[in-house]
Amino acid sequence: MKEKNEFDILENAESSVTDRLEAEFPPRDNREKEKIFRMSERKFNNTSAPDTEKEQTVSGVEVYRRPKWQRGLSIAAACALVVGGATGGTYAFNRFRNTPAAESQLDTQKKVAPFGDFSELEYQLCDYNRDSMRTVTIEDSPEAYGYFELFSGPIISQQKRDKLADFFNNYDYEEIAADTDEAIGVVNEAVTEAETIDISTIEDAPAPINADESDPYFIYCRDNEIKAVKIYDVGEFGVLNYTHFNFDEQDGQYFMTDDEMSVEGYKIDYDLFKSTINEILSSEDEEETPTEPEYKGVAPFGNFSEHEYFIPGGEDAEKQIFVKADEETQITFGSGEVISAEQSKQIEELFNSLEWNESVEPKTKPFWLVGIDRMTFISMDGSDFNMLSLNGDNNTLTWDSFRYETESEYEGMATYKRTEGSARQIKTYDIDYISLVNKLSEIMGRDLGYSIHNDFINSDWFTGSDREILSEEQKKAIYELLSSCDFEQMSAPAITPQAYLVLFREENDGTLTALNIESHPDSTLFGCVHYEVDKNGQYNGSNGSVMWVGSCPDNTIEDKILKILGRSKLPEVITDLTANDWRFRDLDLNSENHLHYDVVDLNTKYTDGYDNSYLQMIYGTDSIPEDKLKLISDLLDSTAWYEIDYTEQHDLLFPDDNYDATQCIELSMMDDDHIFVMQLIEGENNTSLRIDAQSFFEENGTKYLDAPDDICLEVTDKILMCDDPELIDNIKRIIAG
Amino acid sequence: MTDQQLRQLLGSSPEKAHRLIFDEYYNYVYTIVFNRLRSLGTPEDIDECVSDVFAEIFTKYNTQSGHSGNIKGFVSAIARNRSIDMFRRIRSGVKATVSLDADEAVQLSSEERIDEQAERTETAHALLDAVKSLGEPDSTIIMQKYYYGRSSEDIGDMIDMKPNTVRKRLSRALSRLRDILREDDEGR
Repeated sequence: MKEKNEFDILENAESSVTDRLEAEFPPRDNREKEKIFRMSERKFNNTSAPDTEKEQTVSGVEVYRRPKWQRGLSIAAACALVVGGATGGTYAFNRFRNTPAAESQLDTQKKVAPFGDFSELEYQLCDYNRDSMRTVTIEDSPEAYGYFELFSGPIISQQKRDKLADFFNNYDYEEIAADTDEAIGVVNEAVTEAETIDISTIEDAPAPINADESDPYFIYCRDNEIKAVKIYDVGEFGVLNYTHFNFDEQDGQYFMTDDEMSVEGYKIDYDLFKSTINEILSSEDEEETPTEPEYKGVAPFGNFSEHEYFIPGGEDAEKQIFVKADEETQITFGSGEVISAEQSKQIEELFNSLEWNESVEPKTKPFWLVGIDRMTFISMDGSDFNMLSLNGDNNTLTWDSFRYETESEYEGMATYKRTEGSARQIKTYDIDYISLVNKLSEIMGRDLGYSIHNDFINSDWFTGSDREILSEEQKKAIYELLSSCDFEQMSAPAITPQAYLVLFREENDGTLTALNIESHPDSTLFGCVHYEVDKNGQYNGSNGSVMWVGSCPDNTIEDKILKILGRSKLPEVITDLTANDWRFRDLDLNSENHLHYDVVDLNTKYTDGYDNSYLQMIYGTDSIPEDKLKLISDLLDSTAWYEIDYTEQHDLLFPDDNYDATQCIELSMMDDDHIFVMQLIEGENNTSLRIDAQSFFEENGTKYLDAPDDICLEVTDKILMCDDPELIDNIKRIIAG
Repeated sequence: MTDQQLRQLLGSSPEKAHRLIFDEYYNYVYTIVFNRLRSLGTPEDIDECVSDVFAEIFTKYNTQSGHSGNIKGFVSAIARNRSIDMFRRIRSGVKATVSLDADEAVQLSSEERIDEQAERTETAHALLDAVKSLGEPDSTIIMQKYYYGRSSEDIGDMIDMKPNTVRKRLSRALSRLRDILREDDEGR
């Protein structure tokens, strides 16, 4: 908050004032401006769909790609087309009359299907189950439903397209000629029937013409051009329909006119087409599944040593290389030394030993953990470009491959581009980045994979309690641990500002970023909060702005981090039981060994200054040998504890409480001025741990109760819980020897 | 750059388009947001709000959106709405402890306060005129210090001046400004 001054009058002003402020007295803080731009882009990217290709840079390699939302809008993305609408379908078929004869094309030397060579264009397979991507309206259509709807769908590999082209090109098509009204009549009738069925099932929605969605439907779309190949069974014969048109964009809407569309129809053997197409598609699909036996043993991108891969260099490399992969993507990197044959072979063995699964929806890390960690291999043999980029932020490997040609070559710089007509194949596979890169580093004999952009690793993190700066190893271990978490962002900022474990980092502008890590019964809650710091470097919790809150379904993260930091979640007094004379007291009231209060007469031993006696704690009688204490200590230490809120049921057990002695255990310890009692109480599926402490002073042999000091408060505040109901039995077993 | 051109750029290079939109409207959005949140919000709240506004602009303003025409109006609407949201959020105490005095509590303009608002606007313009009449760099120093609340160091960076010099000029400029305002008042 700012101090009040006469300039307050400018606040909350009308636009005439703000316009003047903007024009005459702009904010002018460029640092802040850049920060806000980054924040805006980040928020924007967070609100768009998760994207496997969101990365902007690769270590040494820059890949420029559009973010997903843009690609979603782009007609060049994988998509398919449906001739939409009831009457729209009939309309399309009526246009068969305008088609040129197919024979002329069939007579050409190399036999090519009348709709062109299928292998030459990047046809995709329509998937009606995916979301419709856009609608192209037929502008001058007399029909209400004159539009095309685009669906996304899987890309068909080049190999698959070659096989399909082989089949399509060699078939003898019979064009449905302009004068075969009869044929058109049959088609239209079939279509009408199909509509009836569809409309009844899809309610109000206009039905697509293809009632049978299992019919293969191919679509090619690039820029503003669309080509679609679809087969139908119309009863008496089969029809292959080829539609081709261009469309325009206006105000974010898509239009085409009647004249721009050409529709051709050919008689085909429907069953033969359908079975052949499906066979080719499915056979390919099997081959592409890396878990299939025939591919096992070889990585999907082939044997690594068969290409001369190198690790691209940065800006200081001998040569800067630019590769235009497509209109939107230019891959930029420095040259690098080709990996030796021996290392290449080792990497091949490593890659081939892994299970490769195509990545469906790679998890992205929360922004505060994004490290822009990348590792890249590139090979360029004069005609084929192959790039393997390992991405640490979503644990994927992307294989990008295409044929390329030289555009220009100068000293220290070269530009290449993808050969026109050659398909660019991008496939993404799930990997465990950290373990893979560690292994690759071992093979290459140098550290790979952590980038200079890794904000997490390259920042000085310190802990809240002692401001002790974390070591490189600790940061790395925490980063690796957090990288393995399955985060889910939450909207409600439900974090406690005073979590037990908070990591801090000072930002360049002097503010503090705090990372709260808090265990809950089934999960760990994370909060990334930005704090302003006052002149003394103290942060003021009330001024925090919550940047990110989320959880991961693993309640041991805090514990693991505490271990990395060499801190225990357990109160200090019980981290090493062997340091003190911890004793055991049998809580069973009927047991011979049970130490009754009246026997030890605590009333006289603990009195406060006003002679009030406090029935507090009893120091157990049975000392526990050091080796047993060590075992108990280890057991407690290896248990995953989490903190819970205090309720009465977590109170210490007292003699008159109605408790089951088999479900609890008590250990106690006394030093010169404190007595500590630790009780573990068994629950149905868990065990809770509670420590109480009293301070006292001794005068003339009598111990007097003292006001609770910090030591007391620290331990008594905490109720720890673990999900192990057997813990007490295990401790009892240790004590019993 | 026209709306049409911007949309085309969004199609071919959204990042570039974002940068352009941001550079073009940053001052505008910041001014609107800051103007609303100046007293109540922390610098983080303001950054947060400005970036929210741009994220929303980037999301809503795209090649496909049905919106057409005046992008400035569109930007202004989002900026005003988001800053009011943020204002309410801060005031409702979500962001913890901010004490409210009576002045701030009535800041959200309401119909009954039109008269007062008109007078405020007039005063605001008079103040800006007065600041303007100080001439540069004093008017910038004064505004950056007392309106935007920046430190002398930051202002020094901005206008390439030693913080100490900024401080000296500041005190002199402020007393000059008060003189001008007093004369204005008497002249009325």
